[in-house]
Amino acid sequence: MDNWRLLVNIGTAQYNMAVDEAILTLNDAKERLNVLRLYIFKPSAITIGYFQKIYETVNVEYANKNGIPIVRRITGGGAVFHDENGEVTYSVIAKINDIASDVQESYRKICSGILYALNYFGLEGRFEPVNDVTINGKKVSGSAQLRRGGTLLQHGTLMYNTDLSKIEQLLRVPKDKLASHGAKTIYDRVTTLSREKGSVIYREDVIKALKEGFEKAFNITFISDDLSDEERDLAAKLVNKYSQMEWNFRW
Amino acid sequence: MVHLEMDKKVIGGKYVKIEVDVENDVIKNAIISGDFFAFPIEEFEKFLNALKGIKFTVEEIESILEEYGKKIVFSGIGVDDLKEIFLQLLKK
Repeated sequence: MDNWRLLVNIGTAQYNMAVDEAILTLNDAKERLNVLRLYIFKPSAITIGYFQKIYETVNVEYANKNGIPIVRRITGGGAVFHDENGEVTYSVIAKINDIASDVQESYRKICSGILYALNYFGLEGRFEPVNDVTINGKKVSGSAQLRRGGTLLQHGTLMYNTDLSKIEQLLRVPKDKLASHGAKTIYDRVTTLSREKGSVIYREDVIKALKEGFEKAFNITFISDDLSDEERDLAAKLVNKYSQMEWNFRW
Repeated sequence: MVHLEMDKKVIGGKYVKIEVDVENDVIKNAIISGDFFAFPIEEFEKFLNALKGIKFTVEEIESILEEYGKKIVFSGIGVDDLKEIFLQLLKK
């Protein structure tokens, strides 16, 4: 059974994105243990996909008015509202050979960790390609993957108590995108663990469930760890990039 | 300068939008946006740059797509979707 590092933290959107990129860069540079990060965005923030146009996907004015930062990721995919009090983000930074060389298969394998985490709460989820996990047809988790050399970074959400009304206010979800999933409103398309369970679910339990879920999915053991000095230094430099208008408001 | 744009939601996949600014049949600027996945992003950036300055013709577009289709891994959209949109734009 292989050992992986487990890193748990709370931080700003800029910091969290910088840490993911720092670990990806350093893990690709030389042989290091694979990593699972579980983290919270504080304050609540929006991340958008690398290829997205910010004004087409986010109500920037509303976000600014409410002090919600918007940060562009290095991964593709869609815009995400990371609710400080309702969402845990995970990231897997691992050798591609330890997951799967086929991209779709690697999404499936990593998302199986989320499916196991749902079982912890007595909930049954489903992986829906390309990158979603749903409960009763509604999205509870979305993921985004990037590969660099022999290493992959996949990060994604797990909404346990996200304020769905905020998603509606902050993100511009095209009606035809909702319709393609048979939904009319965001409430038909997106859900949370608490909503599906019918009772309040707490962050600490979600973190525990994800840890156990990924252990089961990958047949690994986690070693709780902190960032190394090297990771901390590189992340500190990268925070700069994720704080710049040129990056976040590129188009 | 003419600005052309067209988008597509791939069934069972992702959304992609292509915008090109064309002057005297030459692409001056190109943006390919959406919620799709593509890597390495460095190659994607080279792809966007390579589109700038080429003749806006089927042959030139196909040649660039063939070259970068081998270097970039797309998920949620395919090179065929990009080609389809470009061909539609060429008819405009």
